Amino acid sequence: MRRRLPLVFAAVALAALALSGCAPTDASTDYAGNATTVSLDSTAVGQCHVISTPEEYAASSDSRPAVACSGPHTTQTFLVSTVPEPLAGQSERPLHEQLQNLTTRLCPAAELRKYLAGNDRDATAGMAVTGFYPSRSEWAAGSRTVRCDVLLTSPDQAPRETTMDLKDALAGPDSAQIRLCYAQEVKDGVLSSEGSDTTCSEPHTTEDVSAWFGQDASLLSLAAQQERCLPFVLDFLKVDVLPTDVEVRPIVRIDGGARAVRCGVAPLQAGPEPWTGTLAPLVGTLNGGAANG
Amino acid sequence: MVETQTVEPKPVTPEAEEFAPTPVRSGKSPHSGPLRRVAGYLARLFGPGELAIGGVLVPAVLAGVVSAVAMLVRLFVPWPVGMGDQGDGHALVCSLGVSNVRPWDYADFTRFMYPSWTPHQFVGEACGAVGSGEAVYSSQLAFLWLGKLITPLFGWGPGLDMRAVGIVCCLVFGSLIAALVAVLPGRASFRLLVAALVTAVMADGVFADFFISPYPEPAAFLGTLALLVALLHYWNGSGNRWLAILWVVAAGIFTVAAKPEMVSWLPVLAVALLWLPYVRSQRSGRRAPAAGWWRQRIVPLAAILAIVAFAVAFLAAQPKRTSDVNLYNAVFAEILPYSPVPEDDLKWLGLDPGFLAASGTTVASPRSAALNPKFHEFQEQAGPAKLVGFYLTHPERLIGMGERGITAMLTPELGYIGSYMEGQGHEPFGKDRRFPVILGLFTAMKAVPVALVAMQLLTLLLGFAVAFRKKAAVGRLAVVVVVGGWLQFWVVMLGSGQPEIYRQLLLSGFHAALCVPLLVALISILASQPQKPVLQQPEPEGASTGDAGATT
Repeated sequence: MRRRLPLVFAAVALAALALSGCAPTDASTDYAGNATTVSLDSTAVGQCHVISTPEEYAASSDSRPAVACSGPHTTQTFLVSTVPEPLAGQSERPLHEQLQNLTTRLCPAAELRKYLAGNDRDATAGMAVTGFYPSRSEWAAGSRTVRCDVLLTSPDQAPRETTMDLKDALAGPDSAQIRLCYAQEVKDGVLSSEGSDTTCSEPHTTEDVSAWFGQDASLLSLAAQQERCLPFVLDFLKVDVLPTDVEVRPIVRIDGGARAVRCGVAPLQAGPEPWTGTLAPLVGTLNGGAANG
Repeated sequence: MVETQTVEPKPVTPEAEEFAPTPVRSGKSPHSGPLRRVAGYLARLFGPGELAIGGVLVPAVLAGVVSAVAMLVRLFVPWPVGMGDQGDGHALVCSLGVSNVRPWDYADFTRFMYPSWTPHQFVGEACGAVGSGEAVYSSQLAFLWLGKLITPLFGWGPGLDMRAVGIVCCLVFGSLIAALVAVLPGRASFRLLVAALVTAVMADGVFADFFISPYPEPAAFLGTLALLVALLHYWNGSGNRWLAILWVVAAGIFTVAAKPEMVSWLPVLAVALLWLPYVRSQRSGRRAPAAGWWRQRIVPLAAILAIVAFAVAFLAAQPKRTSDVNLYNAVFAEILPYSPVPEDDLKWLGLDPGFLAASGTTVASPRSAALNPKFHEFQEQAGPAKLVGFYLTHPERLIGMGERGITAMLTPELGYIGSYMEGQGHEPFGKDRRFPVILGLFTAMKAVPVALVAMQLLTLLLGFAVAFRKKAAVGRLAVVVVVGGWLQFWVVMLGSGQPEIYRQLLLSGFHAALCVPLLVALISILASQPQKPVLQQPEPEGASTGDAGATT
């Protein structure tokens, strides 16, 4: 017993040590052993990718190959940019936090709006922007390319798989999937003044027209709010006169104690009922009124 | 051949009995009261008796099986408990080609434990250290790999389930308890008592819950226990000396490889290996003539070199991201926020006064210094050598740091991550308190934190007493546990700083908790006046004198 025990436990310990060598060996290959990485420098606007885990989403770089945008995917590249000075001059890649902080500057909402073919009156929901940077080895080799991706998100912020091509999506027939709408409570046949965010492809009561203002004493009445919102709604519908089957429907939102009025539009209904789709006109049409989406 | 001797007690004469004075300090009659009788009974039942080594195969196996089963029951009945992941787990576990099945949002997935990991092919930097994707190594991968092997056997899917890793850890723990009983000296009841107390320490949720988690802590806990068992065996001097040293090397490498902070073991391990096994002359009871300092220690020195070489290689393979973050924390989360003169500290460190705005932040904070345009100055100016220089010139800062560390160590429950699986009817962030012995002890000590240091000092002093007066390896073990715990404490405090301090100091807390079974063992040995260590079994022929067990 006294002489066997050490042998047994030494064997166990050595076996465990051998197993502990089963650590990752090369960050440029996947952990099934396949060489499936691609360089960030080969990326292009319009490419689609599949990002399915929080870690892939939060990583500084993404070297998975692109997939066809007609197939299931979660992100789409809307802009390719470069890291500016002084960070670009560092021989070693900046910290993850420094890169993430750059994303807001290098992947601006204005560029995304342009890619989606949106205008000032288009508000989006259920979308997020993320930036992917060169890997450490790519950075050392001189790459400073930044890939700006847009992705559809579910309410829990997880990427939503889609087959939708987001290029010019706000001008297309499927734009309701990414437009901002509000779901208000209906109580005794009356809509609540507040509403929760949703996409227009989901049942909702009001569609946002991307205009808001602080609610002061002059804007307490609904009529005053509607009057203030009217120009923005007309701009949204691309009409000069409000169609008879549409009404201006402001939403009150309390953010951090401050009351704001968000301008919205909805079909004129006998009684308030949820609806789906968007009132935004398709490109080439002059007026709204038909719910697309 | 090894002699087994006992010191015969002197005959007691009637005269001596008649005139024996009553001890002044007791002030009581020599007649034993009920308490004394109970104490005597317990001493007879659990006292070590002769400090014999070996010869307890059946009790050892039984202790191993019972402790493993106890841990399994404690972790799985009536429902599994473990440690939720706060996002660090992925860095290690992803290398096995699995991804955690959990809610997307941080605030959601930390509320409960999500033990299931499904197969997933990670590419590039998506797998590895958070923020850099650099490979993360730990001996915990051995347990994770074994857990992945057995996961399908329990119907938990094709990937990896942390409950399977928990089962692996319980079995390894049972094996270590069996080994502990085998290498402890004394009667079987005494060994079983110590083993039971060690099991009680491990079974506390603050430690045991890590068995079902993606963290590397189980390898650190179990590696520490394996190292203690290996050292006891080495110091006992029984069996093959080469094999005993090999076992220490293996356990040492496994322990150091658990987490970078475990390199704190190196100095203790070096001293422990150079503290040669008990070898006595067979005739006189004196130490055998020294065969030359170097000749005696050449094998331990080689073992130390091997462990140090591994530790250096292990540290070199650690993600640079980890050292970057640790350096950031040491300055912006430790030195500046607790400094009475942060402006002067920045000046001493050669940094711009504008960095003061980032005092008290982590690298990921909105006010992070990493977002300062002059952050490259920090990266160029600050470094480990500068930190060492800072504390050498500002030693008074270590006092406050030590106080904060002790308070954190006495708060071992990680309230920011849940212990239960979702859907079992528990509140979010609910903590497992099935067996809160250490949690209770530490919570009580928070009222008087110095009690923790006092307990460690007492263990250290009694350890020296047992090591030198009783020539028992358990004394040496106590010294190693206490000093190792202190070194671990300061490595964490100086290296990692305030963020994650509660989790990082759990290993120091584990060392402190082990003082409880050690104190019981040490006091038992000292109080029961046992005989010096003897071997119950004769040494096999052919064993060299230098390798022989301790005798009297």
